[in-house]
Amino acid sequence: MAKKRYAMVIDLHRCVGCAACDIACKAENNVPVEFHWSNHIVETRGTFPNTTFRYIPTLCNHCENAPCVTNCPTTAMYKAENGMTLHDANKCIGCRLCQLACPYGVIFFNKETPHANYRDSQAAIPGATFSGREVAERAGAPLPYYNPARAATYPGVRPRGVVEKCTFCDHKVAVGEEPACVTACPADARLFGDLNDPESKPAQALARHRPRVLQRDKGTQPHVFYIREYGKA
Amino acid sequence: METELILTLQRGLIWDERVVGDLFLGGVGVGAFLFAFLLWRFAEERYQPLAKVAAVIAPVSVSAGLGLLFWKLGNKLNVHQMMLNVSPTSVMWWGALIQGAFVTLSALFAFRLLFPHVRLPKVLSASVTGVLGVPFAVAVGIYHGLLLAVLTSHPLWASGPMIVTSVLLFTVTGVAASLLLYVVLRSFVRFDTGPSDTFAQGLKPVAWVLIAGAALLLITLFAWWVDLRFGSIPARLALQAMLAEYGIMLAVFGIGFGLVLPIVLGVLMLPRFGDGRTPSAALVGLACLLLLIGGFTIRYAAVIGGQLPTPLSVMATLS
Amino acid sequence: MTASPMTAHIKPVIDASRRSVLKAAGTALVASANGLPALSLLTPTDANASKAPATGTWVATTCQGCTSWCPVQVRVVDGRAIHLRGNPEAKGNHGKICPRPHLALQQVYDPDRVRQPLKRTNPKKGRNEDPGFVPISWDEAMATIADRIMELRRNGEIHKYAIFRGRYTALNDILYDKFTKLLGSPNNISHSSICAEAEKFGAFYTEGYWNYRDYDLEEARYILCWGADPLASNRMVPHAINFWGGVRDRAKIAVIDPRLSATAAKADEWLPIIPGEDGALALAMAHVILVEGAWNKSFVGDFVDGKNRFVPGQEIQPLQTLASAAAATATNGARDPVLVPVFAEKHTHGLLAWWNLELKDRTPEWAEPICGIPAAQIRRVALDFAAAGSRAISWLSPGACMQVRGAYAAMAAHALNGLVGSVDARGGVVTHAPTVTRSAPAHDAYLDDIAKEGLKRPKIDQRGRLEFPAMASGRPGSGVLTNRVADAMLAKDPYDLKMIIAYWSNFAFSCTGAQRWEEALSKLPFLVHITTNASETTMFADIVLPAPHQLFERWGYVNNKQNLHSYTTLNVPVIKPVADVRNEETEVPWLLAEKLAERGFDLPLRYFKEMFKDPETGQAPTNAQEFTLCHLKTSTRACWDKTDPNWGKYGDAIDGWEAFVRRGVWNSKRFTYGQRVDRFPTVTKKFEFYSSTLKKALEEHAAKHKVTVDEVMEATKYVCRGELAFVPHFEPALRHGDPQEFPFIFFEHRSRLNREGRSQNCTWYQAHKNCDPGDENWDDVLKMNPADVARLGLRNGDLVRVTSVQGSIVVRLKAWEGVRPGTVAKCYGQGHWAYGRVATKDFARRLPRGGNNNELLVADYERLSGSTARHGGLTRVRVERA
Repeated sequence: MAKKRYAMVIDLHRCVGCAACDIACKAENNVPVEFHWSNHIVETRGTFPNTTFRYIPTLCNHCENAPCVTNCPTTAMYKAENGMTLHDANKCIGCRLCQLACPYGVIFFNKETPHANYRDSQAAIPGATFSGREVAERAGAPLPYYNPARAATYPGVRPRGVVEKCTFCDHKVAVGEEPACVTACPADARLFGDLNDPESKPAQALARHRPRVLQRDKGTQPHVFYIREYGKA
Repeated sequence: METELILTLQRGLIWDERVVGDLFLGGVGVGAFLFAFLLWRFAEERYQPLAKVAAVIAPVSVSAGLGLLFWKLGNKLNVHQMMLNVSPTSVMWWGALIQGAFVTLSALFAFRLLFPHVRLPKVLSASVTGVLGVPFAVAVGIYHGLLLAVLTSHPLWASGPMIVTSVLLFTVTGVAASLLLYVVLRSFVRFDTGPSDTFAQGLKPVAWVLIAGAALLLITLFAWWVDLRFGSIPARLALQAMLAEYGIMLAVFGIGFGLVLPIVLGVLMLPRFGDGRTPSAALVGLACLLLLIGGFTIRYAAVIGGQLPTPLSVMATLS
Repeated sequence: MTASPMTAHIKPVIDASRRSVLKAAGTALVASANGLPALSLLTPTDANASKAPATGTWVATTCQGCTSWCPVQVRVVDGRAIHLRGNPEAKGNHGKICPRPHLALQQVYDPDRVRQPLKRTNPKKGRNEDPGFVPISWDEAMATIADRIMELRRNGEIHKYAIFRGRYTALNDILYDKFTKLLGSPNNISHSSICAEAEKFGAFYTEGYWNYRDYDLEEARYILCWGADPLASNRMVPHAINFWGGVRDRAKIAVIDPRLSATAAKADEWLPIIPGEDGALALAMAHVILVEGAWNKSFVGDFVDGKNRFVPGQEIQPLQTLASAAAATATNGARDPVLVPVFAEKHTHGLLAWWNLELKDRTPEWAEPICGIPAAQIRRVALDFAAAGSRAISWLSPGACMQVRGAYAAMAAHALNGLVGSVDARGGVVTHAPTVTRSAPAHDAYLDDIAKEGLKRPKIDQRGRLEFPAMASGRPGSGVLTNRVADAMLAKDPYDLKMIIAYWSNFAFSCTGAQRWEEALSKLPFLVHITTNASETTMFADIVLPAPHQLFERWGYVNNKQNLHSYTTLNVPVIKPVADVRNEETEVPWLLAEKLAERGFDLPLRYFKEMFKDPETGQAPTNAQEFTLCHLKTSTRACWDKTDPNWGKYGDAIDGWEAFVRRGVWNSKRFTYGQRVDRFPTVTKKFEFYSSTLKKALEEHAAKHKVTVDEVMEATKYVCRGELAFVPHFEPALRHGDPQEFPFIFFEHRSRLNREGRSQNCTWYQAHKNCDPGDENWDDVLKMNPADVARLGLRNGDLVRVTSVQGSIVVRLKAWEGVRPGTVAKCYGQGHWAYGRVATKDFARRLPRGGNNNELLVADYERLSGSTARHGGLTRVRVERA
């Protein structure tokens, strides 16, 4: 079987900048609130009334030539056979060199144990409202909306002291599903698939439209491509 | 109005003062080792106490630096993973190996100098450990520069002068630290090597090394500045950002007090080295202290200032 | 009807937990709560330890985070809700959801939710009074409320009871409507008029449709948004988002908005209008369309001789002597020159009257200084719009008409659809396909004398008074004046209120002139607040009842439309409720009815027991939960019960209740174009440019008060006199505050993350707020044009005090090129001083995160519709460094 080369194409013409991807990613991957595996750059350009606004969704670029992988001293950050850039938290020493090496700012470091608000025993109005801990207990999980499926390939919640990042939802891809940001996109602006398959959605899109990548000059060869324009060119 | 860009990144420094400390102490250590080795190998007997001080500084300083780095690691319990996994593309992985070897060799070397009468296998003699230690010391010194220089996402680091600076820094700070500690120790401890006021008599070459090293550092810093100032847009922006934040600190402590003043002091004191005269120990100590401050400041500005966030105009470049 | 096999399951045991009720209903929606797998959250899990992770089940329900009301599905794992997605069975949102449903996860699991019924112990009420809430049982809460009701009824004061409705499901007809009437109070007060009633005014008084319109995005060739930001808000968000890429391929898009909105960022034209001057712009566009002969002749008609007489500044005699052959035909070949209608109007009414009364002088050059849009752009947009003909959409939103003088702007903007013939047309502006649900049975037999007496009283909101015509659906005095209630309470005019039950509403935060509500609620003797969170209104409550989250924790249904399909979608309890909640719209009235019966007033309970029965078993409800399901199943019966005469006739044919619950949504057939033309429910049956329908309503209102229509205009703050009152015409924007003292026009907008005013306590809301163009995460910025920022000597990021004639807030300043100089904009939703610890900066000290716009905005009204005027820059402000 031919080796896979997973990639994502983001159609800026279709994207409306709603951030559903960002939020769905957090729910899918149990991501701490201030970490943005799925993220965005917003840009306001020009002078009134000739003002334009654009939104560029971002995520780990799963670079072919990934500086985070090159620099990782323990091979915790690695390239999978299928082209994904993945992270083995069990090997991570938390040196954060990957964060420094990545030009895209898509790797996050757990300084504290995540989701502290659901371990908090304080109530806003004691006796009248819950505490985070109580809600978690009632729900039956330390993070009430914890997604156990995430734990198939990565710690369900990454512990304090290690980095974490987008995995292209490898746990979903492994069972034949698409990444959460793709399924959550109401605009169908994200196309995910195997670039080695010329019939795949991203391969087709790249054949039709001129692909662009972020910081091409860094030589990282991203696997996240952008096509078309967000607003008026 | 200029384009407004927003991207939410993780806040705070990635590498903090502990890494500055590691690089600084690591530099001091390898510098001190080379100084110790040279003194031990080539200098007169009366300089052997100085050699011993320098030799002891080497493993202690590098280990202390590594300790700081270890303290900084998020997941300390996993540190053995560096040994379990081969990661030849990672400078840091090589660094761990090299530093491990260096600490071992320099510790043995120091031990041999301090306790020459303890019986140990021949392969662990001062000559063997010292000679073996030299390339490792140089490698560690280069590693300290290379570690940052390979991070192309940080224009301040990814440059040739970065490595040169690192090499010069270890030379200057290692020698300065050894001299300073020696001067300080001498005021508490009597060394059995003759009158205290003549200690510096034969150190003229060392003074030259310090002056030349500091001067070369000045030149390298200038080259670094030129490299960035007339480099790519990201390089220019990174330089601008660093200078805006740490420019004054770098100018005053890194260059003014840290390099220029010790050079001036050194040049003024040069005639007093040799010829039966001797420079003031306090002044020598002061010059060394200033050099150390300068070295630390440069490391600090480079490590911390180099991490200032990449301008979003660069991060948002789609092409 | 034959009893289904489900019959036996429908009867839950009285003391069954709510979960078992749900299971007993045969839906098997919720996985067992037993044996929750131990989740090793914080230790890395290797592949073996995590084999076969629980993937859970997708359960259908409804998101009511905005007014799109999308059918959604929740992924439930071990009884926990973990993900949201669109219901793939839904034709309205076709399986898509916007960001809002995802945020709901953090609402239902909000650490700051009210955990159980509470009782106030501090009789003093005010923002800075600690209510001293103590937990009580549901039984005690219900008994306390029932006692109060009985007391009012005993004293002949039951009209002083009111129910405030906010977000609701269609089951609201029990608590909001029937129960209130059975008690004998006329005061069921909805939030509708703080929302968008002026928008309905535009469509009603032109084409007789008191409702929101649907839009044929797939076929449209031009979309002109009047403040509408469909990619972020306005009633079809996921559908619009999904279709927008295609719309951009096929159509031109123009957005009229003083702010560079989410939609404006993805449009061909941005028209940054001066707030409140939409009317001038719409009229100038209409003028251009007529003068350039660009109107749709097959819909509107044409001059009988084909010669365009729309010449700027010139009146047209409707009857003229014509010489041409066409005219000869029109006069049946009569030889003598006689007066004939010069314009043969087809499916519209009163075009020439509109031209003569208003449009002839409304040139783009006239409009430019008023609305701030260059004449050339007005002309270009008008002609491009008209060129798309019947496939051009003029999309009206609250922004362009929820203004003090906004009713005529609403009509003007909607009338553009008439000019291009896109009303009820392919690619145009359409209405809705029929749904098959029905509401609760008649209650009249259960009204006692006290109730009948109470119902005769006028409503508290002063509707129908001379200055408040509130002419919903053409009937003066029929619309609600939500925001007026605070003033009525304070003035005790027509009387004072003694007791209010408010649910899923937070008028102390969400109404303009919020300070008035704080005062009115401080003085109210007894307030019951049914709420998920301790909100601003809660702080004035005597009894607090925890509300179920509408998406996850209760039964209900709603009807709505998107994508040319109407639909009925179920609210389903998909998880075990986090708090000790009861369905506020059905269970609470049932429980109260039981308490009232114990106190000798059993009519509401009898009504519930005698008039409702389970359509499958024919059995009457014996408890609150059964009652809920009886009512829900009966209301939606035609969606799922084969024996219902309407089953399968108007849309999906779903076989059985269980199947309906599993599916979650009933879709109507696709809307059929063109059936309303010439059958519009207007006075003339035509699309009215000269609104005979409005004339009738206004004259009726004037007659009621024995005044002229001119006097009505004066009383309602309109400047027009005479016939102008019946056509869309220009009204200068009304603003509170002297321009010298308050130099900036303040206007607000919506957030794509607003689940109305309720999502601000979610960290995900705060952490992604900058997806609203110009906004910042974890903040509530006042957006000002950089030129103005520089002029004031301020800097981006400064804390500024924003002051209006009404109040003052302190927020961070954001220099942004997306707002017009002279105006400042801020998103609605933040500035909570209660609600929770994320929404506030300091919950205990009542310190808001940002500032509430409603403390700046003056309470004023679009009086013809009864709307609260919250847009159009009705309030001027001063901005200074704090």
